[in-house]
Amino acid sequence: MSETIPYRNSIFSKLTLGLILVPVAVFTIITVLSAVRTQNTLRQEITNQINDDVANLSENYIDSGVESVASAIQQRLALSPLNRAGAHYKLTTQGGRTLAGDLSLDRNNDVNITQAIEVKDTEYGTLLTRSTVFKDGEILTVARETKAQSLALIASLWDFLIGVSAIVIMSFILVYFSVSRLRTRLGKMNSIFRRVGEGETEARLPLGNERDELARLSNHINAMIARTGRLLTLRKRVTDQVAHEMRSPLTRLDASLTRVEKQVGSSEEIEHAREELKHCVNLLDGLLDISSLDAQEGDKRGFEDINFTDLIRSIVELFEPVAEDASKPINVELSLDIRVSACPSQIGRLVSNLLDNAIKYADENTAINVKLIREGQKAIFSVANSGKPISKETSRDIFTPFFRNPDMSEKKGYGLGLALSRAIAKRHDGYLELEPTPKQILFKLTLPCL
Amino acid sequence: MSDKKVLVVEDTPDIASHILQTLEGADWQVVLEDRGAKGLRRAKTEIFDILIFDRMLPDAEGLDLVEDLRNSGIEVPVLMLTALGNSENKIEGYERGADDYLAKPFEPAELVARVEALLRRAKGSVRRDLQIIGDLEVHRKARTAHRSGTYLKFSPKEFDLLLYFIENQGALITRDMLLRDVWGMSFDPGTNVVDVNIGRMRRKLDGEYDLALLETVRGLGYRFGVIDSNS
Repeated sequence: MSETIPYRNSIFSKLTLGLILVPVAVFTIITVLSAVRTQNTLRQEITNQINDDVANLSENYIDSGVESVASAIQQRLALSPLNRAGAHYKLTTQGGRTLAGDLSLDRNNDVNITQAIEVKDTEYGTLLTRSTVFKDGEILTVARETKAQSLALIASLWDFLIGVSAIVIMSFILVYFSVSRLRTRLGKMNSIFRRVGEGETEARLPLGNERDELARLSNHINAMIARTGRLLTLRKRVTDQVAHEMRSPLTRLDASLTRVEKQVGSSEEIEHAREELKHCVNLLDGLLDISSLDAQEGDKRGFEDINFTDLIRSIVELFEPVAEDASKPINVELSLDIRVSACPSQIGRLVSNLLDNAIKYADENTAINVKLIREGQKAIFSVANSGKPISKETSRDIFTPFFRNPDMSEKKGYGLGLALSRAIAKRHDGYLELEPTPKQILFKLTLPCL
Repeated sequence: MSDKKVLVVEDTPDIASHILQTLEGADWQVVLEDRGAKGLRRAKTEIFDILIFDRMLPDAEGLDLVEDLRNSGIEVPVLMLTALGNSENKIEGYERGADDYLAKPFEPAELVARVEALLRRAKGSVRRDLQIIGDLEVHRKARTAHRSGTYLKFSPKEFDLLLYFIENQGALITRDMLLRDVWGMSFDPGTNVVDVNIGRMRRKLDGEYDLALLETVRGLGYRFGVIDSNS
């Protein structure tokens, strides 16, 4: 019932992907930015703590000398590591002798000694450190571990990630369900349009309880299909009525002729009247056929999967004796097993028309060439005969009903055959054309292959 | 009284009487109805060999009647005899269960031929392997034909034609029937192709013999195997 489009072609796949990827991208950018900012803030915080430490210890130095600084360092290191918050110190003399502290780090030869920098320490991991040089050349180095801050940052990133994933998963589920529903509903619309296109004008879209835009669209579509159906029925009724109104009096006329014939015996006059009557009927049939074929364009009712090669071969077989009697042999070149979806009687009629014309109009003692080949997804059938080239003006009008080639007017016919043939080709999503060639008359029929 | 019985549902009085005369002339017992509902009731309650329906009846569409009958399990052959004669109408007719379709105006002899053919088809013919008609001897399986002991060299299609004629010996065979049953074509190629093909086959069959087995029925078709004892 519903017509599904593969996911890779579906508009909804793109929509779903967009709805998922856009928030993911936005969240990622926000996360990266906020992580950078958090990291900077944390670093600044540690730097401030180091600066405070340096300031305090420097005050100690100014107030009470280097021993006081050393004991202050000892005191601080003696405090529990929790309170120290990963603080490490080193106090060295100008000569490099350590007076106090737990750092093995040596910054004595560092040019940027007073700047806060990050260093890797084998003992305490990544450290943020800063040193200061006292009046007598002692160097105080204060460092703080960054491990705790990094862990905090990673933890908050994890929280962020979990939050984002939850949002993405939930929005995916939501989008998936609403998209599936939409896909089904649009699939139904597509299949209804296909069926209507194939001539099934009774097809209607099921109307659910929804009152949304698609429900309204479905209503409009149903109304449109109903109207198309009415027009087609009307068209057929008119055609049928015309046929009925024309044929009924002709039938009565024919019956009268039969009665007259019985009473007075057969005569040339009666035969002549019969011929005229037949002429009327054939003309009427031809016209009605063209009109109904035009109306059936795209309507696939009565279509079958047929072997076009076999159909052509059997029609050629039927025409061969006629062609041989007329000394216009048929050369056949048919690719094997070319299959088309077609109404066999209509396509057969088209092929017969072309063959009939070719035999009728070919020059005496020349061959007729019939060819069927496959070119990609198309079957190309051509019938060629030698003969007087058809002028440009004529070839423009040759498919018009009642048009007769002025150069061939001595031949019998109604001037409907090619118009009918072209209408048949069009009904089969194909086309019939007259190929311009200098020496022969070549009609080419192109049909979509199976 | 004839034992071949046909029901004709046709609303136009003079066309109905034309059909009646034609079929009675061919030894059919004809029952006439002018309305679809009455015709349908009769078709369901009485036994007929063939049914002939018009399409645009005042109270019904003939094809609806056919569908109704088929749904009721009645499989009597139906011939649609109608003014709706273009190819779209015919395709529709066959799709909806009609067995044959003849457009008005019709040749009386053609109507008889079609009705007789439907009857033959419904009864089914005994297919004997060896058929002997006068001095003609045909082996169906071996696909050989001899006349007065001389081998007749037919093409496969010509042999099919011969078999078809033998199966319908004595009956009028129209060009439409040959196209449909021998060539499998439900359209009219519009020219004399059938006549030319038959002509070729006939030259082989009758060309060198005094007694003609295949007779042309002018303007209508052919009749096979009616041997005139005078000739």
